[in-house]
Amino acid sequence: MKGNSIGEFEELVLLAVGILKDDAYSLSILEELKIRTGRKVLISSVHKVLSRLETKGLLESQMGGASKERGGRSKKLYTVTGYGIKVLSESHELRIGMWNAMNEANLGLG
Amino acid sequence: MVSPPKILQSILRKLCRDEFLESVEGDLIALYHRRHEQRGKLYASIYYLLDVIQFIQPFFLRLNCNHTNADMYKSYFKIIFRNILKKKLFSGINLLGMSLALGIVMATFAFVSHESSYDSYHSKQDRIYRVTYRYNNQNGYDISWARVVQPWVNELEEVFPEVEKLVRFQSFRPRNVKIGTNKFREKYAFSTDATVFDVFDFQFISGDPQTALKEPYSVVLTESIAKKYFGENQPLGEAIEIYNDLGEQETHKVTAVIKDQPSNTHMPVNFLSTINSPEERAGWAYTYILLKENAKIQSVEQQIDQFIADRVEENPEFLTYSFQPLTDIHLHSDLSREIKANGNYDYLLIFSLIALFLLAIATINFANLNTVQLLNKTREIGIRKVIGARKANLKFYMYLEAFVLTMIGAVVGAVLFWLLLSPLENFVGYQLTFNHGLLILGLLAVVVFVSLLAGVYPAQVISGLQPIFALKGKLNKRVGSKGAKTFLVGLQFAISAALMSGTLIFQKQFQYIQNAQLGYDQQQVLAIMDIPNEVSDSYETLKTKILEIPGVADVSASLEIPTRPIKDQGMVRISGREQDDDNLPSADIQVIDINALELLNIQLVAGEQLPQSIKNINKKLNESESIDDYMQSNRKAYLLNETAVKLLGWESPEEALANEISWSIGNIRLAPGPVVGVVKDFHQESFKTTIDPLVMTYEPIWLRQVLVKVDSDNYFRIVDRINQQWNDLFPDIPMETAFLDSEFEKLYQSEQKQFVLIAIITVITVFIAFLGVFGLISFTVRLRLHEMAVRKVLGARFMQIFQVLGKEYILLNFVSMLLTVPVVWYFMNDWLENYAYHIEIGPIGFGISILSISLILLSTIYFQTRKASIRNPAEILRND
Repeated sequence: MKGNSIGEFEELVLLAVGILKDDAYSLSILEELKIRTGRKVLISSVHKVLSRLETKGLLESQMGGASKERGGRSKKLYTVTGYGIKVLSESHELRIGMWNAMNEANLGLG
Repeated sequence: MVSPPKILQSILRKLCRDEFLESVEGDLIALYHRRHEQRGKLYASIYYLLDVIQFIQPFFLRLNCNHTNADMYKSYFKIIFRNILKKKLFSGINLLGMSLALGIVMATFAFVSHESSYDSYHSKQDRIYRVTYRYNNQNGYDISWARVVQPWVNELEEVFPEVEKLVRFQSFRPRNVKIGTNKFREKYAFSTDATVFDVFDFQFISGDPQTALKEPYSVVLTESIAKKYFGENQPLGEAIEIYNDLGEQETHKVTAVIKDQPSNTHMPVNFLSTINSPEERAGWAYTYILLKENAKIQSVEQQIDQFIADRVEENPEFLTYSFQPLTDIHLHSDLSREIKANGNYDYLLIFSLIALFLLAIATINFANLNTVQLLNKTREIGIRKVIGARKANLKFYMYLEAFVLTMIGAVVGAVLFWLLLSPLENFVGYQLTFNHGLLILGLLAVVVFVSLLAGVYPAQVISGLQPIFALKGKLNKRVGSKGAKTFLVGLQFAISAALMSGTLIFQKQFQYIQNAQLGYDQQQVLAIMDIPNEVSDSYETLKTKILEIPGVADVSASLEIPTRPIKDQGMVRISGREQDDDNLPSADIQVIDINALELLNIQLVAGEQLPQSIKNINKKLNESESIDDYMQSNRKAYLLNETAVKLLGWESPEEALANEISWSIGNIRLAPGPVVGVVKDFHQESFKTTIDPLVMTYEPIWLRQVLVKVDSDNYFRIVDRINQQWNDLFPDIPMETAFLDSEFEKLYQSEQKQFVLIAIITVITVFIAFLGVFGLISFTVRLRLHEMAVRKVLGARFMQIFQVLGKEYILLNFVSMLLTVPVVWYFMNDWLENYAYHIEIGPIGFGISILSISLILLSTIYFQTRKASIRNPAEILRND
């Protein structure tokens, strides 16, 4: 875990990219996050995090999917890299492990 | 397909880095479209703007400056702030001067913009005009009225197609109101037309503007009046009793409540009641017309003379009508019987001018000190150049420094203004309305302007600097074009001297007016003001009752109290003299009870006071009789003032005695009677205006003010006792009292206030100017420290050093003062012409200001030189 820790928001964005699969780009990620978390998310912070995750090698991107609604501009479509999947699952395992430990401790006490 | 505002798109394209641009742009356009569909264009555009702003952060920005540049700016700011902290004297003087100046400039802006915003809140203000008239004949009778009386004025609405609506405001005298057992006396309680709300903007809290004044005997209250009458209870539908001009109670129903008007209106309103019948829609009224859209007032003006000529048989040319644009009334009107006191345009100009001077002085200080400070900065600049700063960078640095200092000054000034605002509002007596956004924009504009001015010279010098010289701490040019600096300092001296001597002359004139003897004794006189007919009918009874009160010396009555202008000017006929009926001489009328002269201590110069017998002859008006017959049959005796004697062509007061005269206004003619006495001229109004010719007589139905002379100090008890007597006699009528000496003080109140404000600003201006000069001198002394040390070593005495250092400033001071005197003399003379009685400008005001300015200057130079000359020259020279 040491060295490649990611923040909570980064993790959520990464997961959203995974959920959206072929249509993961900034705006759809924003919508996904809004629906799932109910939080207000700024479009600029989504862009910022996506770019940061790409620099870290957790995401990779390609341009495509221009439409009339976007005034002919392409989307930057993201996919989670293998390394990204690894980081996600490590984080998930860490949490599960800790969750179980907590339950056991509390049961033991009870 | 719709698209976001082009300009915002191009801003985004300029700012955002290429790697993000495509996808960000696409996202924002998509969001724009979605919002456009849901909530419309404006909503989408506003959110688009907010989105663009989101992306203005270093992460996305296309910074054409690389890291070194960012560091450069960081270092600029760091050094600027360090310099501010290090050079405490320099930055202190600049900041103090700049913040004081900007604070006062802001206050002046607030005041001036309040004064010039009168009535502009009415949405149809550009189409509303007030109808006023002027009556003048060739013989000096000349009055312009703010209200009109001609019965045919109502026809304007039907005759002129340009006029959409005509609205009258009648019953402008204070009205008596009764609610249950509570009595009130209300000013600004007009009766008006139902269409008033179509013309003027009143904000309705409850009730309907369309129907509020439709039914007769309706009344619309303002919020604060509703609270005063009904407390927290709902006023709608309640009944209030309003007394009409004949003293009869009329029950009115409250149909609406409106918000209190803002303070910037020439026509304050407490309540509006209905005009209840076509017959009532006559007499004196403040009359306003609303033009149709696109109609021109000029076309009404062109035809108005014909309109009048068609309706007036005798001498229509004596009567002129004019139409005042609604928003001009407050500053440019000043006619007889304005609804409330007008503003003074001249004072606005004076205040703006002084504020401008103040700003100029602060800017000059700043520019001068900034320039001399360059010498301290040469090493820093030299190093920056060696490291590779470009000319443009350094220029920018100089402007940036000026801007930062000015900006800090502006922030402190804004805080100062914010703290000053409520004391200022208390002082002037009303809330100031002004546009906050405009104020801030204006302040920013001033800041940019000042920093450009203060930065331009240093920027020029710096960019041409040779690094070699600079590193030695020297300039290859002489700092500051000497001519410019001398001129600017001279200008400061001149402005200081001008403001100071101008203020002193103002103060002397003001003192002269205030201390002038008005010709009567206003001390310890209580006035019961504006009594209605009912009371004046029983005046003699009231008088007997009040005289019974211990501490009351005498009771009398008059038509108008001294201090308030008499606007009843009428024609004087002299029996047995050939006179042109169309051009009779005219004089004011003052009606008095016989003993008023004694009570007010007005001196007789010839003859005697009105005979007691005249009081017995004069009977009361009975109901069957017309006012004309009544007036004609009541025998009279007259008093004149000295001015009237002269006007009527008699050589001496004695000559006037025993002549028979009569006085008439319109159709009302007083019966002829002998002139029994001549009184010494006294000032009915303030000392600012000339004394008008005056005719005095006794006429019981025209007594409107009761005057009570008190010879005890226990005023409250006496007023209380008078109130009791009054309530016994007239339980339904409220009583309004005032002391004459406080009315007298009110005459000069606005002048007094303006004087205090001008004096304060002048003192601050002179103070700031000297701060600047002080800074400049102390800097010069420091620069020439070596020179002084050498001189001292060579045997120069203190006075010689003083001379060397001070010569320039002292000479400059005298030259600029001498140039100031004629300019100030010219302008102040012009201003004094506004006063009927004024002082002559003497040398004293100039003397005092020149002397005190020179004295401050000399002592500044003296102390600075002393500080320098006390130091051991060895210590100074050792450093070389």
